Amino acid sequence: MAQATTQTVSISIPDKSAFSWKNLWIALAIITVFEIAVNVYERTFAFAKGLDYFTPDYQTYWMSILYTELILEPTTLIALCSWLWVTRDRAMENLAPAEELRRYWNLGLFVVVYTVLLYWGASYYTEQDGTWHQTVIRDTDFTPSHIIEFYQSYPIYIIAGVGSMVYAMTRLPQYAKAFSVPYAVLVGSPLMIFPNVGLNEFGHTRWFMEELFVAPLHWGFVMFGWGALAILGTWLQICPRVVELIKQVYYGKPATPPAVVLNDPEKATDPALCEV
Amino acid sequence: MKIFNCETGMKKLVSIGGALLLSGLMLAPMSSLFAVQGMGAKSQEAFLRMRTVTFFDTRFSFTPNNRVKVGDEFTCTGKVMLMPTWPQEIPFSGISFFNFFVPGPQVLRKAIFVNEKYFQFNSVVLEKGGVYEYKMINQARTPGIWPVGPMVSMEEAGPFIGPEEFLTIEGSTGGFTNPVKTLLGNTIDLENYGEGRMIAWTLLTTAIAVVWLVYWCSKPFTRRLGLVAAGRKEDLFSPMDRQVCFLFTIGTIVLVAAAAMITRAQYPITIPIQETKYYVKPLPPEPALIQAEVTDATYDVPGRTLSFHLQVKNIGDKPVVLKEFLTANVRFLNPDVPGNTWNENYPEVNGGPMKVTPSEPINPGETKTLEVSMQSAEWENQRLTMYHESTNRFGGLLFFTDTSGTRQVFAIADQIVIPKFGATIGGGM
Amino acid sequence: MQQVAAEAEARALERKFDIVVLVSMFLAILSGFHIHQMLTAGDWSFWIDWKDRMWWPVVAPIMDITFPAACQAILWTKFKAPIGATFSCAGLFFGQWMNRYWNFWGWAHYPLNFVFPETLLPQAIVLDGVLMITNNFVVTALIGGELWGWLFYPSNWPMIAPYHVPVEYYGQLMSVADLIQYEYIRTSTPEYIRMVETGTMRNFAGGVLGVSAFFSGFCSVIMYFIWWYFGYFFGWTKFIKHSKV
Repeated sequence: MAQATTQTVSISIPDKSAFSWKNLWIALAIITVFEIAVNVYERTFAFAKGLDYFTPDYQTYWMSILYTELILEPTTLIALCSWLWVTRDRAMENLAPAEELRRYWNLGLFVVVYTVLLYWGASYYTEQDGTWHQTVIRDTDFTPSHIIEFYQSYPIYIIAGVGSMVYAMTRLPQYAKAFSVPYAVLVGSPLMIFPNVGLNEFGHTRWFMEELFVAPLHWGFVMFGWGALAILGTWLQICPRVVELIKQVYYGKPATPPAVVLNDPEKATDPALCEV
Repeated sequence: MKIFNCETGMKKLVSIGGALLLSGLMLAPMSSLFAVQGMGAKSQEAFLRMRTVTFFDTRFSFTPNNRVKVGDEFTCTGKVMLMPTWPQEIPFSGISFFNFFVPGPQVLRKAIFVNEKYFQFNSVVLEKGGVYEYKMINQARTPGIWPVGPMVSMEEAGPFIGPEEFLTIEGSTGGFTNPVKTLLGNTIDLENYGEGRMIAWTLLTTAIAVVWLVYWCSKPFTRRLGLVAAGRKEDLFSPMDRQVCFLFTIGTIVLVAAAAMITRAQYPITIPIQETKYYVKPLPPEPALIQAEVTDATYDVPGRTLSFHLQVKNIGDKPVVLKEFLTANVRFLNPDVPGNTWNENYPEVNGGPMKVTPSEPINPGETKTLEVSMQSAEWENQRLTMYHESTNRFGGLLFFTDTSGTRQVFAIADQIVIPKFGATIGGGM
Repeated sequence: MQQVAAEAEARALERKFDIVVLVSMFLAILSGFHIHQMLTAGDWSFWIDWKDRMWWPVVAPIMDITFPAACQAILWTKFKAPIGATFSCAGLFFGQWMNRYWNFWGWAHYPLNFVFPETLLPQAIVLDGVLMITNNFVVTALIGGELWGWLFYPSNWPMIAPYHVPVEYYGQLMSVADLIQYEYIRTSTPEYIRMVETGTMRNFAGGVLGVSAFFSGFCSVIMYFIWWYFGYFFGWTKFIKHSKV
């Protein structure tokens, strides 16, 4: 018997609370309070304690932050991904449409959180680094601005990006058995900005003594930043499946069963599915 | 099927992590918020700081109190010598800027004079071996305690940093103005000149862009994917959409053209950014009192003592003494020279006494070999012990004076120094 | 009634997803564009004294047409939404202002007239409009790309003209922009590092800006083509099976 390529079922409408903004507001509030605290700390201790690497105060006020970050961040990433993996959906072929739709909503909020953190890292703190380095003398790889930018804001968005991708891979049929190229680029390319710091520090130590922001030394960051454009492809993959599920859940229209999406995820990316 | 509330779980992890970090921040001592640290020169290699640009005769007009009010002017004067033998490892382009370290425009640079008469605006081209005098006039702007000091920036080589002081600026910035008279006859305040205009144009162009975006994004967005795939053009654009498009496109071009023309009428006289480089001749050489040569040098590691033999011939007509050795903003004074004592106005680091044996003056025509020895914790404090680096050659300035007070500055540019890791050597070799 | 309620909820949910899509696109594109722009054309954007007649009107438009072109490639071809250029440039502008205001001015105390960013929004609206009117990316590249280069300086002249008023200072001729950079100390960005016009370009009949704008327009056309196809790549909806990686 040929496998059904569409599925018509009678589905009860999910409760509105399944698509609530509440979790996003909470996440944004935590992020905003945290980032404000970081900025207050910088303004209090960067000029006051952060200009001379070789002072005991520098170790107390700045290197301690770095060591805390280097412990907390990988721990958080491993814990998050492990937990997502352990609690994965092991029977996705039976996933109910309303539940799949709810998970796409969660994924959407997760992606928004990722892009908010990406903004803080790649936009705010990276240009702030220019404010710092064009104003004072660079005397260490671990300047106050770097401790916040490279070693805090970049890992934090990496945790969110990788976490969102692992969420998708462990809970959504579209991502369970195949890698999405745009999603991998969206997460992986900004992720590579972090190892590129190694090139940056080597260059500033060995080759390039001037604080020119547009120096070719920095163009690795530029290249990896381009990957953020893959948000376009990511949504082009997700939107057709989401609209298809909305039509199925709310209008009773037939939709591709999850078992088919599992094996052929590109089938669910046809933009014609968005026709309402 | 179990519904996994991963969103909450993720938030819990982030909350815990964030709370830990925040509590760490709050537990950090909040005292001495304004106890400012130095400028970061110590991160540069010892050989760079000792053998490239040496600052001497540095004076700040605000010492010893180190206090000024917002709006007060102060000066920083001194000399620099670019070592005659420049380390091969450091690029030498000559293109330099007599600069001033301060973390941000907390003080304003009002003027820099090089060799008294030349006002430095653009960058200058300097020579190896040259001595240049500078006078920097600055104005206090932002209250706080700030490390400040002169520096020379050289293209490709980077910053060369002079001695620092911590300056306390008292008062408040409220009411601080920076008036300047233009060649058109009007007086402007650089603190906010042109700002209102800039903000108005920014807001206007941003508002137009926001209206454009809101117009399109207020329509259902995702379903457009389906409409495009199905070729339903009539559902994608209304006649009003096309009119809006023409209005914004043509209207923006007209607005920009009009604004530019109006601006041109408002500012008919403008000049481009001024950029050039000037060649500045070094100061004429000082009268030669001596000829000297360092024959060998050692650094006793456990004893923290730099010692060297110096063969000196007095070619002047008066007896000469060795008063001082200065390197990397650290000064060692010879206590055997009468009146040669540390002054609280000196911004450099006091390295301690310099022992010179024999200590008697060198008479005219005489050639003597001096043993110069400096035992000091500052070799380590200032990170000037070189045996960790890939080149073990030191540099610095020796100051000789004769009985009339005439001074000669002699540069040790490039002297090999052998470290001794054994037992302590007491006072000389 | 139930059907009507269900349809209303479906519309509301669709609208929520629209917001999620648009907000995340805005922030992601902002982030990528800002880090790209700040490290290829950033110094000219940071400082009023870098806004010259040669480098700034050439480098900035060429580097800044990239993300608009890529966004247009997807937002127009897939969504027929004529917002690609304005969307990305508005995001960039937001990111730039957040830093200039809170950090350059708020933290380091540089006056805002020293550190304000140039605006790309007028030329972005025109680029979007040209694409919608012509419905053809080749024509948009040629006409829109040229306009992008030509509109840059006049779009910003209303803001920067006051800083080109001449001043005599200690016997030297400076523009107000030069004087601001002289006085408001940037420790690690000494004067020689400015990449600005050195010596009047050997122009004919004095048209420095015209030459720069024409060159900028030409390069913007080329960049538009390249980045339009980059946009296609970033809009690729490909999946690769786990077993093949």
